This record gives sequence, structure tokens and C-alpha cells, in this order.
Amino acid sequence: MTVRLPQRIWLAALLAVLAGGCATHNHFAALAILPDDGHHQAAFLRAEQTIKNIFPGRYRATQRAIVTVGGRQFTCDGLLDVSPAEGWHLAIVSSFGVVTDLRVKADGGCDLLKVTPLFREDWSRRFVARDLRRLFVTPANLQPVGKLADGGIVLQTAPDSSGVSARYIFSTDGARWRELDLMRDGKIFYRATPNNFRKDPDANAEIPGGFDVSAEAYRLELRITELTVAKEAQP
Amino acid sequence: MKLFAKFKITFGALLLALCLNRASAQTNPPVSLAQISGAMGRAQTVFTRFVQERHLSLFNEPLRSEGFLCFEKPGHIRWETTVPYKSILVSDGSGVAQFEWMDGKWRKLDLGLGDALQNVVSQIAGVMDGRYASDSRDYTATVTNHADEVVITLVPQNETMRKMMAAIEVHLAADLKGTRGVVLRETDGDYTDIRFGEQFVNLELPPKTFDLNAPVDLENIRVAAANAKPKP
Repeated sequence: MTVRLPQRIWLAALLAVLAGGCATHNHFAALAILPDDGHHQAAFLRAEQTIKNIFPGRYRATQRAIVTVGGRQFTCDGLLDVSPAEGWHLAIVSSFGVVTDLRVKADGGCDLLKVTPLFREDWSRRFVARDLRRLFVTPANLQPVGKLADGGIVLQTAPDSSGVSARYIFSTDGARWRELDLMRDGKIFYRATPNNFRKDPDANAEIPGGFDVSAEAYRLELRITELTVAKEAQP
Repeated sequence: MKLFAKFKITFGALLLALCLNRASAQTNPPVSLAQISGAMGRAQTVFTRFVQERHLSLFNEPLRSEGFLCFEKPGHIRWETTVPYKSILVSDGSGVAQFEWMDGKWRKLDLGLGDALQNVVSQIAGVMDGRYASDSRDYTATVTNHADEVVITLVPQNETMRKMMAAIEVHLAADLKGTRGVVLRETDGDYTDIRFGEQFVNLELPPKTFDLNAPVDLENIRVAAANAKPKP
């Protein structure tokens, strides 16, 4: 709905929590991982294929999100266009108007296409771009790490320039993505759980119907309300 | 507050359009603001389906949603989205609540800042009393007569507002007996097109239509609308 509720309310709430220094930090229990014993190569390979094919290469998705910040909840809609040429282009529209419009490129860079009074530029880069990159972009250079006690397969990226590693957890056979943890200095500060998987007739794999994300100062409940696979461009 | 005013203009135009339906005078255009104000004051309740398309300049296709809008004097508003997700924003005149359909059931959100939201909704509700149309402090209004429709264009008076919202167009049938839609035009090329389907004015809405804890199911309202006798 494009009912334009007062922007000051939106800003006040977010400012109070995100910028006010009173953010509540989530604490996640560290997972006990059994080292890779070399007997699960098929599952690791399957897991790599699962995450690689989790979303089509070219699609359009609409999203509905509930963002909880400091115990207060806000809703917004997302419009995501994905293509090899344009990358991951996301606009977020709240009841107050367009929140942000940005593009994550294939090389991981972020172009902020629209800055609005509703949302600070650095929040778009720090939080929105991170969610977009981590939830919808296939990670590079995943390496097998081991298994959880329940048999879950664990793969992990090498630390990036800011020291953050992404740990992906899959089902025992590697066929389903179960969780994503972001870690720095061995501590988990971000956890995403894909949910409501559905078989999309136009896609090769099960597509998550949404994600639950717990991060430093916010919780994101994201639903993918529509996903349309785009036809490949004709040569 | 300037941004409150922006909200008033946007939502006010929406309700203004709805209230003109059937309750409006039988006169032909040009229509004066006084006529509009008078017509608005006669609508006690409104129920209508809407299709909203948010056109973003950087995207080829719009962000589309559908749903239903209910209004009842004094100050009761229910904006319910049904496609592509289910959500209800409701005010009973004393408070505001929002519900999201999650995992097969309605979940009430902790909106916080309820007093501030209620303040806004109260101002919107003032539209139904005709105060909005007669108040020229927030916008300038012009009426344009086309062969098949009448368009009321509202331009925010405040310069800061105009930087965000260029104009709001209310599209009415030429005989003023039907409202076709509202277009919200922003300065950066983005616009929102809200089109209305069948509208019911002065129908009796079911109890708890605007309940802040357990609003009645939309189907009950639709049944009430289906059984409502059209106003002559």
C-alpha cells in the first residue's frame, strides 16, 4: 500500500535503535562441527549444486518483509530483478514510500541507485545490500568443513576483506539449504534460515519461500510472494 | 507537520475519490470544491476493491497489489491487501493496528508509536467530514473536464512536499457516479496508480470490521456488500 504514513515516525524508530547505540545484539550458539572425514564427498558436491541452483539465473521476485527493530515492527515490499547483465536489482517500498533502490553486481559491488529521506545511505549498504548479497547471490569458493551432530553438511567461505566468513548448512544429503551463519573472529553475528521451500515448475530446484534473519540490531522475516523466471535473452 | 500533510493529501485524495461515488451531486462538470466537500459529507460508509500498481522508474514492471478498502464514520479505516500477500491496516478511530497473514493465521504486529499513527489516521478521517476538500492550505485543486471523465488534480502547496509529490490525480466518471482511480505522481517519475472496482457506499458494515484485535474476516464484509441495496 502506498499510503504515506509520516516519514518522521519511520525515521524516529529506526534512528532510535540503529543509530542510537542501543542496538540489541543477538547471540548465537556456536555449532559443534565434526571435521570432514572424507566420506561425504557426494553430499558436499550436492550441497554446492544446491546453493548454486537455489534461484534461477534470471528472474523477477516480489517480496513482503516484516522488520523488527527495537521491538517495533515495520512492513515493506520488495521488488527484485535478477539477470546476469544487471545483477541483483532490489527496490524496497514501505508504507511511507520508496525506502531504497540498489543493485548488487556480479563482482559483489553495490550501486546505490536511489537514496531517500526514509533510509540512510550507509544502512542500505550495510544491511540491505548484505541481506541481498547473502540470501540471493551464490557464494563463491565454498569449501567443505564437516558435519553437524545431526548429519547436516557444512560448507564455508574464506574470510572476506573484513574478516567475515559465511557458513552454509545443508541437509544430510546436501539437497536442502538449512541455514546461513555469518561469523567474524569465530563469533556468529548473523543467522538466516530459509523456509517454506517450494518446487517451482520453471526452475530446477526447490526455491525458498522466504527467510528468517536475525542480525545485529534487527530481525527480518522475508517472504517471497511471487517469483517469475524470465526467459533467456535470444542470441 | 509537513510530512503528515503529505500523508493527508495522498490518502485524502483516495477517500475523496471514493466518497464522490454515488453520493455526489447530479450536476455535470465543472465541479467546485464546495460540491465535492458536500458530496463527501454524505458518505457514512464505503467499501471498494482496489488494484494498486507502483511504477518505479528503474524497473520495467510495476509492483502490483490488490485488496479492499473500508471506511466508516467517524474515523474508521481498514485497508486490506489480499494479493500477493494478506495484510490489514485498521483503525477504529481510537487506535491503529496491523495484521499480517503468516503461516496460516493472522498475526498482529507490534507497531509501537500508536499514538502518532492514530493522530495521522484521525486527520485522514477528517476528510470524510468534508473538511479536507474545503481546506486549501495543503494543496491547490483544479478540475479538468474530459469527454469521458473528470480529473481533479491536487498539487501540494508546500514546496518541500512538492519535491516529493508532484501531483495527485483523482479520475472520476464524467457523470460523477463512479470513481475510476487515483494516480499519485512523484517528482522522480515514479507513480502509483490505484484503480477501483465496484464500490458500495452507505452499506451496513459487519461488527468488528474495524476491530483492533480480531477484525472480522473480509468475506463477511463482502457478503454484507453483496446483500447491500444500492443507493438510489
